[in-house]
Amino acid sequence: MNTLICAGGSSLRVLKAIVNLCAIGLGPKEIRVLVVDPDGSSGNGAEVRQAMELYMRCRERLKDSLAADLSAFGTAFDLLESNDTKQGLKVWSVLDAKEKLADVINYDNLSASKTSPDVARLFFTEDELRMDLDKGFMGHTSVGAAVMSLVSLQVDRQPWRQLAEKIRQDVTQQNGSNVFIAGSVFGGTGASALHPLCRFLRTIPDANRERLRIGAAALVPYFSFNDSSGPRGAGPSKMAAQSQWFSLRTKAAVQFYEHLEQNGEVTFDSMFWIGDKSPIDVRYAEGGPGQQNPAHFVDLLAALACLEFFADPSAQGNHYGGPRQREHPELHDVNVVDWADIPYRRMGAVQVRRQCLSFMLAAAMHVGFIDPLIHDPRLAAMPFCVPWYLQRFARKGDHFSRKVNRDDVELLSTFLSYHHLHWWSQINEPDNVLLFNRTTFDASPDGGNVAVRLDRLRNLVGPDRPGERTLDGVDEFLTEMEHVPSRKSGKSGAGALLSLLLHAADGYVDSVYHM
Amino acid sequence: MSLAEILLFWLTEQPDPDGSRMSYSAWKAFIDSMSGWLLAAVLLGTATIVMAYAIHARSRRIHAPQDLFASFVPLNWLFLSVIPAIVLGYRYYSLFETTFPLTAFRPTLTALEVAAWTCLLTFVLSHLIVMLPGITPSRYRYRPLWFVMRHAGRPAARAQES
Repeated sequence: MNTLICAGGSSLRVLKAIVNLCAIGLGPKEIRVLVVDPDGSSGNGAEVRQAMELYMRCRERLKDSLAADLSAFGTAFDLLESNDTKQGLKVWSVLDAKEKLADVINYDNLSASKTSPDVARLFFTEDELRMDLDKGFMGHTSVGAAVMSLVSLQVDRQPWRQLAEKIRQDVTQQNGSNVFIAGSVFGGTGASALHPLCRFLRTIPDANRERLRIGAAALVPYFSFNDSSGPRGAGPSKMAAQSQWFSLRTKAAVQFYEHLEQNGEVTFDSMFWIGDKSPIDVRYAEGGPGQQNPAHFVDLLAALACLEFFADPSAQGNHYGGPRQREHPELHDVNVVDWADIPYRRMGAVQVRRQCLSFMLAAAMHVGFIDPLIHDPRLAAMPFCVPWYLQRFARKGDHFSRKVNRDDVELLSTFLSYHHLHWWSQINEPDNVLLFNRTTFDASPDGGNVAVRLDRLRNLVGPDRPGERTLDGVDEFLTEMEHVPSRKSGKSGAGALLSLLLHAADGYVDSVYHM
Repeated sequence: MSLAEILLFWLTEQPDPDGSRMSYSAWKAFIDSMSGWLLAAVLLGTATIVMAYAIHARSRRIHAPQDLFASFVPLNWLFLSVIPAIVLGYRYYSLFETTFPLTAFRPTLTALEVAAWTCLLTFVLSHLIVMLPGITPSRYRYRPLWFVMRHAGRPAARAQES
């Protein structure tokens, strides 16, 4: 059984990438998820919670009606639900609301306990002891590490009690338990949590300890910000994270893990170091709802590393990911990221690209063509004008005018438009990313939902080729839909529709992209 | 049974019973000739219509959902059936006048019947052929069957749940 622990803000974007990859069908059968973040109200957190909820609802509605040979929405997420906690993605914080480091270590009463407060002052400044921690550790790794080391005291509380029980159960099985921790090593929460969590997890199994395998994605700097990029009048506080310290913190983290390795301390079985030497600029936000950084290809690489670890946890040691050192003629000395940079050895980069492209095509056609078609009243009145609809749905009485089908299609459209296509559009925004053609994404004025320009269906991959813009791709795709064998079209409703779209996309990839 | 008896079955008896003006053998030869003309006109007309239809249907592209419901204009090629009808009606009239100059019987009405029959045969044969798989592109498969399929959606429209 696989467990994913996301520590800190960057890891939330990795989780969003994992949700999207699982929607594509690249994930394992089941993943347990727990988020560790003192900033429970961050914008990225709200976004990933919504994406996760939609994914789970889509999966619930589609899983029984999808064609058997498809793996889309195939991963079941276990959010460690229990009766005494609220539903949905759990965001756990070691601190109670408004708690400060001084409260955690009982700083003001240290004298009474015959411990000199100078010991605390040796490690922390007065500001660090009194800083608000409800927006995370804001890059103060020393504060975070001190707080996170208390995680072992939580073993009898939810959600750790439930997680610990499940891990103990897992290690009684031959397949054991795979735990993957994602977090940045240059920020606050992630850098503070990686090692304490690993150390804590190692203490959980009472027997078969070798069956507990722990991997980590250690994200190294891939974004930066300056103070003036924040909202007017919302400048950073004195304690806020500053991106000029990212490199130094990363160096310290690498030295720390190297030190542990050299001293034979058992830490991670696999560690994936992922980053980008050309960081993108993001809008500054100290935390809370304003902290909503865009998706980045490093998130994608970290998510693939996680899925790689779950698929093959035996690959031990350190792994490194990031754009290859090569030049692109149009971008001069900028390192470009294309599909060859996608490190998914288990399935192979070509297969990953194919599945991502097929799902993208299906999503593009669904959002841009099928959804408006389903809402057209002429479809119910003249189904013979749409042969695939008449043959596979209307004749079976499975009309899309039925409320249940309408609701399911709406759910799928929302996930695809607001989360999947939106996510890809953000990943492909930097000039050096040549995964999907960035000009294909058509964002709504508020930037919330994203569609695909259908005249780019033939040119979804790589750089834009204006000469290949044509809406004939839509016609070709519809022809592929007609050719999908009926045994591959799923059972009924939105699941059958998605099956049809995905199989047609597969045929389209074969005939147009020659993959 | 001769081709004329099949294709021009209602013309097996000569319209003018006076053998001096219209002998039976001359009439038989006339309708044999006309049936050959009719067969050629129908086949040629059908081939032309089906080819024009297939090219036109293949050249149509669906770019937006409303294109699916647009009127299927390639079917208009079926109306080209009137051309072999006009040709054959004229041919019947002129050949009748040449072959039977002495008869008082006027061939106008019969020429119109032959023209209508030619038109019907060409139309029906062309329509049957365009319904065959492969002639109509799969994404328009049911458009030639609109007269059968037009009621297929009505239960769906009624089945809308509130």
